[in-house]
Amino acid sequence: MNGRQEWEQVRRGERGLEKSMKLLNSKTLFLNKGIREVIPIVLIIPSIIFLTVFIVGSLISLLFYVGNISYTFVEIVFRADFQTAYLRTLRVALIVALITTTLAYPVAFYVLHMSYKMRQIMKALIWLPVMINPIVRGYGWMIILGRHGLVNTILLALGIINEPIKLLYTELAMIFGLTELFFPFMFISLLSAMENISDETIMAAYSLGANTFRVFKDIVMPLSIKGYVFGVTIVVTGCSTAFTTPTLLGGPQNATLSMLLAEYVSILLDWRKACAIALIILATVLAISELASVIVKKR
Amino acid sequence: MQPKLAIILAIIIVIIIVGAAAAMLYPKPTPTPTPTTPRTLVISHWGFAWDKIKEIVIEPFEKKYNVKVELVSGRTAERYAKLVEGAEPLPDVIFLPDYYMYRAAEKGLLEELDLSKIPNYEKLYNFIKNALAQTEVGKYGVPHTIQDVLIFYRSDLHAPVTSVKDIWREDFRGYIVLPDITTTTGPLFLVLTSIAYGGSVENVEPGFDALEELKGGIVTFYLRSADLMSLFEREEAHIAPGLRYQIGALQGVNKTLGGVIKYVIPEEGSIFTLNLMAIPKGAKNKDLAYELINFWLSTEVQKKLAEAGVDAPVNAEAEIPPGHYYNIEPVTRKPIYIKPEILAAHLEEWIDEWKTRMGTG
Repeated sequence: MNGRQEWEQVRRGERGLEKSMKLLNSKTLFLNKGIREVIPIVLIIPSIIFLTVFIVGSLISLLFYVGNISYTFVEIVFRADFQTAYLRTLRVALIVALITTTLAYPVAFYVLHMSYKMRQIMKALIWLPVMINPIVRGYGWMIILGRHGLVNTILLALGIINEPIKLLYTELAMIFGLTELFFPFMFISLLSAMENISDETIMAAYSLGANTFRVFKDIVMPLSIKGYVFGVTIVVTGCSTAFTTPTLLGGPQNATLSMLLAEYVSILLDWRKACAIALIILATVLAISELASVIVKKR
Repeated sequence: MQPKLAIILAIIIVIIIVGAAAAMLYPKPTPTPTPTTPRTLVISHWGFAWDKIKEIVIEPFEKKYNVKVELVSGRTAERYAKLVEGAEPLPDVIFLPDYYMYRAAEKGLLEELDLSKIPNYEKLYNFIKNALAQTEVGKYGVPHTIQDVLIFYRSDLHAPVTSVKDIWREDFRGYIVLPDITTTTGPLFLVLTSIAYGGSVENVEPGFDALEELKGGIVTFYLRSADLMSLFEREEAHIAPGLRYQIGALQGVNKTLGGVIKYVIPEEGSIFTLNLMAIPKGAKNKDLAYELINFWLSTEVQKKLAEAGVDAPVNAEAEIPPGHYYNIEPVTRKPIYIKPEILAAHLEEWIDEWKTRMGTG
């Protein structure tokens, strides 16, 4: 068997993991084993330095700013404005996660059944809005939801309402804006997970008489659940930290945690409380994503 | 890993390491200051309308004193934070609103000014000098512009407005936009309302009581001044209090709407705030910093800046045509100043009370 045939076997997965690795190792090198082990370490050093300085370092410096930790946290947690903003942020993030899930699952499943080319086109189309600045999109929503906006004009013309209803500067407007903002992220993470399900599994289900709904419920959903957890994490994180969209569409009467944080940083110049809020956001988001993956593992 | 790839990676790593080492070892050319090299003066400013400021102030100043001016721009809070942190380059002159400047002075970050080195200070409006005499920050900062609260409204749909109290008129309900308490305008408007309803700078309770009555009729609270004119443009707002410099943006909106937005100084008075210039402690070019501050206050510069729509003048000798929106003669009739000490003492509690009573937050 020549080298080319051997590689073909590896590629087709006919050689078994252990033999494949052996082949890989024997081919990789002219370099001796010591250097082979060093190279990966050298390659990850830059990212380790980067993460240490900018993530671990900044977290530690946050803790320094908070000062007397327990005191600052107690102080902030018992404030009425914090409680309102916290509950609102959580509520909005979870509602948006729910809506994007409901919208993205069918769309991703539908796109999965398309030809390769169509799938790429659909992905690009759905991803396109992400490349537009959130401020521009926020103003777009203002035009749609405003007093003389598209929605009110249509409802008035149809005689459903007699005078413009207030849509803008409400929590609802914020939910609309954030859903539009994060739908592509949910879609992409679901689709990537679905694409990893082998065609054979789905074919097998169909050939055994399952209808599309059954395939979706029993094959695609359980096997794409990791992508789903990832999507939820992104959406919840994004919604909890978004600033522009809630500010433009909700206004100060619907303050979220990021807006409160900005207020402490730039108006009250109380960086201690701002850091405490930042850490609470971080902890909440981590807890939610952890919770999601625990629920998934239990199933 | 394939052999070729490994070799390429190894080469790249070697190049990076060698390059980094060379960069570290290679002696940096140290610029030797010669008498002809101009000195550099660092100023910390919003950077807003910088093209015009450069043409009117910076370039003539650079020429006159053979100096190079370097701008560090950014929003108020950002530049304040840099000052507190002592971030490099340390500015020689910093521009901040009086409240922030007061906080910086409180922290001991500013030089006490020697007004004899700023001869143009004498030319300031008397009411401005009087205002500064009341506050501690007057020792550390000199104003370069003034902002007073005006009431903007749709004159085509509503009868003329003369007082703050007109905001409470029935015909404006549902079309009222207010500044959020966390904006510069917010606390000024709160105090003005309090004065209108029998309170004072120290007693804002009557203001809160009155504002609470407006609650159902408010469209939203604006957080950035840019939002105000957009709210008028989208016809969400029919009446809103705002600062004088917003007239600049208003003129653009009025072009689209046909000149229907008007503004008035409320009869209760002109409540105003000052933007100050100061010299941080440790500034390297104090002599030039004084020169720049003095230059900025000169009649010629103040007049040109006002005419170009950059800043309202504080120099009483700068003659601005009567119709021009930066002619601040009308402000001198009934000026009201809230000294930064009052804001520093009460802002936090005002914000809290505003949130509870107005339902923001």
